[in-house]
Amino acid sequence: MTSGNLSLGDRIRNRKKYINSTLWTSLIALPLMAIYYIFGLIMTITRTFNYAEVSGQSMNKFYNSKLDAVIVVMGFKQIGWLLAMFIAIMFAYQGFSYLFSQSKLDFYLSQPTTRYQRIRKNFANAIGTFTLMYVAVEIIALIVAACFGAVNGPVLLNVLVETIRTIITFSVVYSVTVLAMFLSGNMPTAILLTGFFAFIPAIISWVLLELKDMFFATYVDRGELNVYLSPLADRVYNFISAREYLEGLNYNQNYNAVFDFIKTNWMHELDTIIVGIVAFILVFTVSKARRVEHAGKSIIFRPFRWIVKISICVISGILAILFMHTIYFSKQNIRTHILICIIMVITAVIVGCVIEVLFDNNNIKSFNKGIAQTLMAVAILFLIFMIHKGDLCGYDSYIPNPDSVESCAFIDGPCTYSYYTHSDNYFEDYAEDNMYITDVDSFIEIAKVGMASMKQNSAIMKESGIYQNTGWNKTILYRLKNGKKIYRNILIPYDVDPALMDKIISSDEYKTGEFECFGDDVLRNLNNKDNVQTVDYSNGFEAVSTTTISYGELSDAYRKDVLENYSYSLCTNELPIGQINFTSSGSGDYINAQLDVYPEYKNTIALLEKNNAMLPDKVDASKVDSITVYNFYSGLDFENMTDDEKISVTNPKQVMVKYTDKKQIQEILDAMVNYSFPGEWFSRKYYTTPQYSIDINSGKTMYGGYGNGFYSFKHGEVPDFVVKDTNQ
Amino acid sequence: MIELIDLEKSFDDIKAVNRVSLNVKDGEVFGLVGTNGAGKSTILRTIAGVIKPDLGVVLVDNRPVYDNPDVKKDVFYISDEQYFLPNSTPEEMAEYYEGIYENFDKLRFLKMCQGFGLDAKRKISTFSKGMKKQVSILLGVCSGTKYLLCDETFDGLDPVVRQGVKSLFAAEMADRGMTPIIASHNLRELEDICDHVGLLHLGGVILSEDIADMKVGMQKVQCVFESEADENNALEGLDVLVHDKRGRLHTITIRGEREDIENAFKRGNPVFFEVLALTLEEIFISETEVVGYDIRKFILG
Repeated sequence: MTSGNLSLGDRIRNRKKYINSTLWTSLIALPLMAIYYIFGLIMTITRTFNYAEVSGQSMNKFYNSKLDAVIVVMGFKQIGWLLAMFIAIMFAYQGFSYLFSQSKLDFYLSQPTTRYQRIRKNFANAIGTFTLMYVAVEIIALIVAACFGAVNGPVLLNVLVETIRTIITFSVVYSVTVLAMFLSGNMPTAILLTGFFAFIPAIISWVLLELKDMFFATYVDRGELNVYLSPLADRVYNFISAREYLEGLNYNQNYNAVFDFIKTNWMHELDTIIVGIVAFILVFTVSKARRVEHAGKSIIFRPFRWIVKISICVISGILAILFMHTIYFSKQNIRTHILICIIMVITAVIVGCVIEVLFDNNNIKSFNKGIAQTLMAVAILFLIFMIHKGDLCGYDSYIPNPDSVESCAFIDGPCTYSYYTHSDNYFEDYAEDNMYITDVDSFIEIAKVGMASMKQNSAIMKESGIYQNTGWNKTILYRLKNGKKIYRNILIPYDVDPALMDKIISSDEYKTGEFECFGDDVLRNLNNKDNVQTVDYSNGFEAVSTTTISYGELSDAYRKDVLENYSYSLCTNELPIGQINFTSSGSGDYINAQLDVYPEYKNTIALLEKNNAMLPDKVDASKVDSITVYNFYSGLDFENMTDDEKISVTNPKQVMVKYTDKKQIQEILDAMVNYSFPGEWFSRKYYTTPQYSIDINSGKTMYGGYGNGFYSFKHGEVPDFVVKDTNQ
Repeated sequence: MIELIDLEKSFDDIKAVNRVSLNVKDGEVFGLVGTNGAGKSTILRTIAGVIKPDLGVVLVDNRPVYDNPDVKKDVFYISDEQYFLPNSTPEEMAEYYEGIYENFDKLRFLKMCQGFGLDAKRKISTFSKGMKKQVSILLGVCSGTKYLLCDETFDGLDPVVRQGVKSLFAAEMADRGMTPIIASHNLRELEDICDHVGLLHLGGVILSEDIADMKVGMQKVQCVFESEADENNALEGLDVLVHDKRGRLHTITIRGEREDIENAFKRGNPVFFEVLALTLEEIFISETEVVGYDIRKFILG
């Protein structure tokens, strides 16, 4: 009987045997998946039981925890995609290792199939086997979860979508790995190339960001790596996003949360799919050009070999730049830059030699091959260095066309509100999310001054190694009409035109975007009667507390005061006389808000007074036991010294004098400035005499004898006896 | 029929096959002889559709073979270094091939294994080199393909097994017209099995002829002449390929029909005269010496 007469059962049996012998790695993969998904789920759910018992969780909270456990193991928050990637790589190496062996190539390619059919069959076997194993394990795990009462509709949807995502991840990583194998002639090269594909997009993105950070004074480190063409980075990004984004939602009982998450992260999903499709197409294209005799070589196609070599040489050169920058971080000049360039070139050349040796199957004699590519890499490195060093792309002078800007913002406000439901502060990015300044012309005028100042200050700092406090460091955001967001760090000099500043700072757009009280609906709506709400008021020396003020009352009064009084002029001419510290805690929520109080904030002050929570803005001398004055530059008149003279001071002498005489204490208090609550646009340099610092000692304040405030003398008002006593 | 037309294949700077043209007729045993690196394996792998030629074409029954599964159904290639699926047994390999070749006969394979003393359920990795070759040959024979390509397949087989395999080939050729193409670096291995031999050297074909034709068209004569005049008289008009003289005994290899040569020698009235059978080796030495090669150096060693 020939095989033409085989029954379907025999054919399936033979096929199963074939898969077993060609994909034996599935015997490793299946137990790993079972351990992660089934045992992992059981452990995570039982942990919620223990936690609920120990912490006395409500039934609703406990139910939520159980649902969350399923999503952590099998849903968007799972880390099993790492396992899927590992299995994909394992299957790929198992299925296509024949590419590196003459005898295997003879065996497979002499059979009556085409190369395409063989590739298709291997893909189908791998993806089919993985899907089968994954779905089987998921079903068992879901049955287990259901037995624990940890499954509902949204969780099922979450797991279903995640199943599709994981299968896509598997397929994409499998395709990329197979592509790496088709481009390689031996196993070590294929492994290195797989790593190259996996990590190179993230490395390129990272080194480019680091270069910006190193060379551009106005660069803003947003901590965001825009990595594309990397399924690994996409998955990491979405994993972090799932952990963060889904915290704030009641996602495990809400179908929309699943769709919202996909909507938010679709770019990375799409990126993964695009990489998969491109890799899949390239596998077939490359397989057409690949010959049997390529087995045993390193990277088989010369143009691709050049690309790999140049990429690695360039990245190594940039890493050398970054390394040298770390060494010469504090001070850089033309000499250090020349040294950086030399090290950069040496690194690129050495790496180029090593790559050539590896390309020629560890033949050390080949170290001097491919000089043209090494030179090309060096040329690219010089180009990159010059572009960044000379800011040829105009990064540090970028000013958008006002017509192209929709709105602007100062995004690094004081962030005085904290509202934690789980782990993140609801108000963390308040200014970025809420400040929409439309007076673009005025904003750009400030930005121009700020950028010039930033560049100048940075240049001085790099040359001298000394930081000069000449203005306010601010992060600005341009929201362009095309949807792009541009961030820059600027340094607004202290002597900036106040009228120009007031155009922005006095605007309602600035105030409502800067002060979180204008976006506090989430707090007003909480209405947790069980929460204890406390209002503390401190003037820096004393504090008073009350529980009779509700958050809504406080916020209403404060909003009114800010809108009526807050301005750049107010901030630069005056200092807050105290600060309100609002806290609300209980039922898992924690809220904290700190509100500076200026003397002009009549509504807020009236509310505090009404509830006996107001303190005088002046320190009562009768409550002071003694005052200690520190002179950090004894023997010098800092106020009348130039900046250069100040910088040249080394090893200053510090003198401390304690005053107990009531008359002297009163004199000091009269000349004293309280900058405990400095406000947003405060400069100690312009309000106080930084040479002096004052400690008020008292056994009568609620802070255990010491005021927690910061005090110094007003400009030109240092009492004579203090000058005399501290400069001896 | 397999036709190789102006086949060329280079590996980097090395020309492995240089404008080779050969014809393999159905039903004959074709031997490819050559030293290591002569291009035998490259030609077989090209015929098997593993290698794509740089130039020229391989036609199997008038169809190009490369990436053509329909043609490959008719070809089974036994590589010099046989590969078997990991941890597989002969039986499992047979099951695998059941899914590959429509005419694969597993039962016959198992019977043959028994006949050759091979345990079909034992892991092939535990087999000796010769046993692995036997498994490959049996798999190839049972695949039911029209063409069986054997690369150094007889190397390492003991004489008994070799004889068994030859018988098997003969039976397959008689039963279903199987055409084996056997590559070897040793001419003596092919002598008693091939109908047609192609001699390769440095990627090119030196010679390709039917052994029967070569034997018919070439004679070896041992003789003793009375005088030089008799010798000249006898050899006049004959195509003498090799002439060796020891004392008065002449050994002469001559191209031509036996009858014509006998008549010519009668003219010379020799003291002693005998037409001897030529070995394949002698035929090759004679033929290749004519075209300037000394195959003793690279074939017979």
